[in-house]
Amino acid sequence: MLETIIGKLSNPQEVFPYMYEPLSQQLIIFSMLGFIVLAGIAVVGGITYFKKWAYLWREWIVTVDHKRIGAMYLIVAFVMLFRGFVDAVMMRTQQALSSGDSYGYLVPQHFDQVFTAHGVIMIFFVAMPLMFAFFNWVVPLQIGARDVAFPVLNSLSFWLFVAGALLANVSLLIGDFSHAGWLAYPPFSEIAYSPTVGTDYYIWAVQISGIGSLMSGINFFVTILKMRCPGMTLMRMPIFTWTALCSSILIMIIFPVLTVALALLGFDRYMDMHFFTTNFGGDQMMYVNLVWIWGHPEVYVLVLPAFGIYSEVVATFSRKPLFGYATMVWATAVITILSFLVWAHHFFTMGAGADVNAVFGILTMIISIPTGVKIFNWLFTMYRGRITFTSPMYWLMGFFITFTIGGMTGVMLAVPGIDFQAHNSTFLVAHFHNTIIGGVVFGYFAGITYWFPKIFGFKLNERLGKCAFWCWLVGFFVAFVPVYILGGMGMTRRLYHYDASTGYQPYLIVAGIGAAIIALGVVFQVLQIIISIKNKNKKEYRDLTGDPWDGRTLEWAIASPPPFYNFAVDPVVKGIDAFWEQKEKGFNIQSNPKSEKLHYQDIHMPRNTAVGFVVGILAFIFSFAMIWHIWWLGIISLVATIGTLVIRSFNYDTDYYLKADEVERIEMQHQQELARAGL
Amino acid sequence: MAKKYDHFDTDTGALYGTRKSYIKGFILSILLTLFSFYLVGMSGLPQSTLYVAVGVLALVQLFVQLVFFLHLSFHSKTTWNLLSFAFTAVMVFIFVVGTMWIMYNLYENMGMNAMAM
Repeated sequence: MLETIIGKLSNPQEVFPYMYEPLSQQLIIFSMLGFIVLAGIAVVGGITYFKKWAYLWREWIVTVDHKRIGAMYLIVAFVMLFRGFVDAVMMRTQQALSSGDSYGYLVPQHFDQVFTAHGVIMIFFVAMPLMFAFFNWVVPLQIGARDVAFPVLNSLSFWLFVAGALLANVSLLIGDFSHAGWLAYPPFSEIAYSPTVGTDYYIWAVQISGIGSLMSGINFFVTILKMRCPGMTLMRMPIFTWTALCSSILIMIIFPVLTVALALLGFDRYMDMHFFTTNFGGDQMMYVNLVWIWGHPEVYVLVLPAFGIYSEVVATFSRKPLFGYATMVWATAVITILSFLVWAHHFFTMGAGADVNAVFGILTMIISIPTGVKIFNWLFTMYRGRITFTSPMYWLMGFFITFTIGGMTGVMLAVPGIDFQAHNSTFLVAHFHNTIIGGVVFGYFAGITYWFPKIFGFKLNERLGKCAFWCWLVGFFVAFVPVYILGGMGMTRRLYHYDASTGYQPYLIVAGIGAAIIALGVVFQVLQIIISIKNKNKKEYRDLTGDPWDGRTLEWAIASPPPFYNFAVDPVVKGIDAFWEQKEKGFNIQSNPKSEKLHYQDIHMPRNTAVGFVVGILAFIFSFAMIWHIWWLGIISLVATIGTLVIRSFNYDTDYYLKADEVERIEMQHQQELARAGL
Repeated sequence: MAKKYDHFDTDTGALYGTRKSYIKGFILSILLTLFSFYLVGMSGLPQSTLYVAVGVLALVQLFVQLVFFLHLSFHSKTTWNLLSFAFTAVMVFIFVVGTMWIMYNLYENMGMNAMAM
């Protein structure tokens, strides 16, 4: 009876598995619970004390403004980054301790969840949302648009992502998380070997946020193709927008494949089907194949926008146009296409013959050519430029070294013969951290420093930013060079315990020290944000001009933070680096002489709506119900979701016109502020 | 400003169906489906011919749906729709053929009977 009402929640062993584990595990879980409760009380109490609930609802939760949605992506991504990083530190500590007679401080079934959660969180709930934060912040501003093509869809994507992230966190306390690694390979992830709800949490968290990602991909694809301002042809788009376009194309092609693969795994688990089981004709190798059709392009989804950020940063701080704009565009396009053609290099050892492995190995190596083109373009942009060494440039130069090393170990792994040796070893782990931290993470940090004044109106502290950079760079090498060496010694990845005679321990202790240095870098970054917020009204932080770096692209032509309608008049573009050209020639944003008065018109704006938020909550309830087999709640929430969308489609009051004189008033106010500041 | 034709937006290049085009597409799809059922159930054609016939009918129906429901056309304003579709088709082709190549190669090398999988 109880089971029909609350499903698997009726079984305490499933709901609180850690209560049946040693006391040490409960201490970990409860200290984390204490942290969440305290942080929750602080946030809720703070909002209540300052009476900000209505403000929060009105200005943020129901917003369809791409800049606000971008900021929210950023905040959630940082919360999840904190969690993913704690997971990393836990793994490093466990492996450094668990030698010989000592078994560390985690039980195996807990260690499984930690490394699974680390991978899932870092890719799906940190890197992806950070990327969408940049898309939201930058793409509409760079192409001179007022918002994205589908503002409500944008809000819906965001709240679906939040629902997924929330599911991953709820699994800490209610039930367990997947034990099967970040891609949940069957047969281990099948119900026969993983009977707990952990894998179901994984499936639903990734599915829900994946649908959000897919919709964002469509949204930005349409935005870039259809909403560029007059004069901005494709070959005049800023490189970041180009990479966002290519990344969106990748997302639209590959995310359906992931959705299908996970859905089939779900059918196996929920309906006793046999797509990937070991018996009755199931084929687990097909899952590996499908998941990597998604998985390989996914890393390019993440890294291409980072390349775009480097391109913007290097041109701005070298005071030169980007070297080889056209080759940069084509290199991006070639990487996009090639990334679809290499997925089998993730399973060279699965048993395919020399023909298959050779073809995919060679295709993989070819990708290093367009990537090399990019690296040389950036270097030649710096050559004879008037470089200012700001912290984004530090991240760029750290990236050159780190990513090139990562790329070279990647070409090594692309040789099937070497891969047979290195497969599943920590050499591989070191390789992909080398490219993802050195390429993606450094790039996103550069981007945050670079665009922060545009979005929030004040700069970040440079000195602390550089301290953070040095800690990250040094910490990265201290943490991962030993991991490369361990891979060469034969240490397998995801290792819980090893014999003292293996000699792994000294290297793992050094790697742990590296993680600590990176942690110090994170501390500097937190300090950087706190100190910058404290000093935001001081002269050296405040960005009054809207153009703190002497930028080249359209986003720097408007105030920081931009007014909610972005551009008071439609920009008109005459070439690459439009804003730079306008500054040089003394033109206004419409590429006319400055003396000509701007003519304001009514602006068509979307209305805020709660539909994204409501569907996000319903999707969370639906997934939770499905995870715990509470069928009635699942049906109700599904019907409610569809109902919400149907009701929304009958709402015709979705937009309004901002009057021209209101636009003029806001713009004049800004001009007066500038005049008062003496600019 | 956008001049609206009955089913076509010159500003965005988006095509919208008309009631007539939807009904036409619907009837064509139903007819093609019924014809497939007829061939399988009552025509008594040999099996190999059936495979080809049903395959061809399915392909025709795919195009009917693309034209009438997804509004693909060769109109110059809708190039992006057609281009995106062609690109997707190429990618799906690569994934399907690549997967078949990889998987059959796997089965062969591992001594598994592909037909039993």
